[in-house]
Amino acid sequence: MAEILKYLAKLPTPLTAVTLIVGDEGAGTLELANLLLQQITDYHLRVHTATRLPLPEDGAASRPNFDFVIFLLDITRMESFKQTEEALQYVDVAYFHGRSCLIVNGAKKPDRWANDYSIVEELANAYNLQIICCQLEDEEDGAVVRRRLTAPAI
Amino acid sequence: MPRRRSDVADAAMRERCLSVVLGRMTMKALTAGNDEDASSLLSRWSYLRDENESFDPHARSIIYGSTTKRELVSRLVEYCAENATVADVAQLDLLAVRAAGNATWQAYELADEVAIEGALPSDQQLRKRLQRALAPLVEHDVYVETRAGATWMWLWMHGGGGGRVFRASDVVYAACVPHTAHVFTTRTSPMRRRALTHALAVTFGCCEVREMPLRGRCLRSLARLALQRNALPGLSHQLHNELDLPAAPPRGRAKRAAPPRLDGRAVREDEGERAAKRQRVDAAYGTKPQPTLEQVQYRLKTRFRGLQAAEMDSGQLFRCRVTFTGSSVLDGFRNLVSAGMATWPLPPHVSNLHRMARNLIVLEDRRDAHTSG
Repeated sequence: MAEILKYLAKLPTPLTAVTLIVGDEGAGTLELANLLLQQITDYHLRVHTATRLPLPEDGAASRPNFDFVIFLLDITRMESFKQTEEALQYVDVAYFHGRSCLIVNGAKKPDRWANDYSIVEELANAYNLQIICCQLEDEEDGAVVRRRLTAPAI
Repeated sequence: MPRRRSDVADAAMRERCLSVVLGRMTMKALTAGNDEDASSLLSRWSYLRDENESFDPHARSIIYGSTTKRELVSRLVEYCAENATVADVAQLDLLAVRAAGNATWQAYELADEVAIEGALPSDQQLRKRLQRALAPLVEHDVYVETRAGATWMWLWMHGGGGGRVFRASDVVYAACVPHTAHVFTTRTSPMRRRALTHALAVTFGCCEVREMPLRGRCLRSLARLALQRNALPGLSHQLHNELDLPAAPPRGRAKRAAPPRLDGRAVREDEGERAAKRQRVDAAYGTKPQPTLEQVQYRLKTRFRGLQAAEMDSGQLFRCRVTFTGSSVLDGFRNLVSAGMATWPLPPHVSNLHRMARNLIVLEDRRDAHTSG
């Protein structure tokens, strides 16, 4: 049976925030990871990326406890939406109490949206996810997203 | 001594030839670099080089002394037209065509698998054969030169009647690669194409020159695709870099900055899967850049296979045309797989595209073995 991503399956590391970004290729995972790592924080920030859930079994032993999960969805691609929808099923419910969020990339190009925004909203409401809409290629948007995600309280 | 009318007409024709050829070149191509720089087209034109291969100082002063393209072209035409021959103009034109890299080439196959064996006839011999073959069909001027591993032909097929008025559209360029049974030409009118294919068939001694469903802008890539048609999957990768033809100049998109890399502090959880996918893609496409094809078109003549709600008779043919365009469609297909946007394995009409030597593929349903009625 595929492994659900459980919160506190391992002991968390003190003064360290471990973030997992789940988004398929081309959704902007790389850009978001680089943005987060540019932020100077009072704590040690670690970023892991994955294209889908469940995570592969190899590497499970050395994998840390994830404190926060970011679901990254490219609204201009249907595949990205389907992959996010699937990934949400492999996450423990504990993450949906303020320990995850949904970032919608491509929000500034509505003429290229593959999905109606209401469908994305429905998905976020079903899992109690906060939505952050942005265009990660835009420097200003990237800076805003970075500050929001790394601020002490989201 | 007064000049004869034919001399005057010839001089006027040469002036026009030179003016058209120089006028088609960009200012950058005309002035780029200095006379020692290989990127400077005019410095590679043998008409402007003396016996010691040094660049004509007067031409150099014209190039560096002119501020606009119109001034540069008119001064060069005035300087060169008196003594430059049609062959000199043809050589410059071929230089410009090779450097620009934006001509569309059509591939032809010499029938009966006649290979252009060993060393081609010399340029002079080839020129004479072409002239003999074209003589009954159309008035022409022919220039042949061997450069960069291929033989290039410049054929000006002009209309009859008094005077030879040069028009750029009357010129056809052709290239052939030794040890292959393929010739590549630029597009031209149907009448000139018939004359050209007949002349090529007679020149190379084959009964027919067949047009292949393969065209593109990168001659090197077309030659490679034509050569590896029906090659075994492993062998097609070995043919990379076998052909020493000038590479296409980098297009605007190729000069784009390298894609961003993931910060070294981030951890990829799916690195193992990515490595396995990379291996599968490399096994299918090889690790080197793919031949450049700017357009690939699929024409579907199949039954409709789609949503059940679609109101289409299942027996009715669904005619659809899908065109992929870009700076390199084959590289694009490979990148789609690497990016996870195309499921693996790809269908054979996509994964074997580099061995099909065509950029128009027609997909039809298999005919049933047992027909009803």
